Amino acid sequence: MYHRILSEHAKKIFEDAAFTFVDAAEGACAADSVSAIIMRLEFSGPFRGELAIRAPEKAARTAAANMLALDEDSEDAGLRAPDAIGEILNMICGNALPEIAGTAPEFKIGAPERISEADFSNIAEGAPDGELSEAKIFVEGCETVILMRVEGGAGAAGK
Amino acid sequence: MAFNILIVDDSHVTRSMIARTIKMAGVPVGELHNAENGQEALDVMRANWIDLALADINMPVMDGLEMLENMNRDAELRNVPVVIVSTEGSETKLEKMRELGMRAFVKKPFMPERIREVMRDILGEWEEGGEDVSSDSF
Repeated sequence: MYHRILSEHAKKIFEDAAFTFVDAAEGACAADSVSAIIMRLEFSGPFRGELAIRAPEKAARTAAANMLALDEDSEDAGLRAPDAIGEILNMICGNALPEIAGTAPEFKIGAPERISEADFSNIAEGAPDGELSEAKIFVEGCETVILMRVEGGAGAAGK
Repeated sequence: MAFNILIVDDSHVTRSMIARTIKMAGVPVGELHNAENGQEALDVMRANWIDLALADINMPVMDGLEMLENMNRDAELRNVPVVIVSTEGSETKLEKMRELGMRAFVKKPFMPERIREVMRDILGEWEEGGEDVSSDSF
């Protein structure tokens, strides 16, 4: 439904705000992909829904380190990774919604929260037909997944 | 002359990025204050002279719009220039914030040059002392 919008904004934001390399294919990330930073936020306005992102640890640490000018292997980069991925999710949401709904409507975007792998799977698998959009990009060679659930689907969003 | 700057955002990462951008832009900073929400920002502004505040919209406790409403009702805070730095930019909300005194809007992700530009518009010229910011973006 909105996978192109999600994918394009996610790619641009990971590149422009976090100075990470975004590719079309998986790179050398498999060993680090086991653990991931997973963040979620809710939005409400003319329609409501949620956005979630699963970024492997390596991609998340690199993003945090670049955003804060830290050493990627530093303790701080690891500690700040959830905040960095949450802020990236916030930017994806804030840039994707006007493309879906236009610039006039007001949306309230909630604070990003960290969620578990199970919660992320529930969003992916529990959404009714037509409500879920999924985008996959490769950040620093690591598969990063963005989910968007719009309650009522494209009909509720007006397109 | 050095300027007292207040950065208001619930994200530590964003506050740090904005602080870095200000440093890179060569803005002479006297005191750099941080607040995690609008209420904290009001407290900081009541306790300190602030030349410019850069604030997010969506924050817990008190958001950027409510912060501007409170500032607008307070004769001492009404004239503190506020730049909104946010992912959210609905025309309706921006219009409300302009009416409440918002001086400029910077959409995230932002180019450091844009932050420098709006700060220059509001604060006027300053002695250059920072790094070149034209090639990076946040």
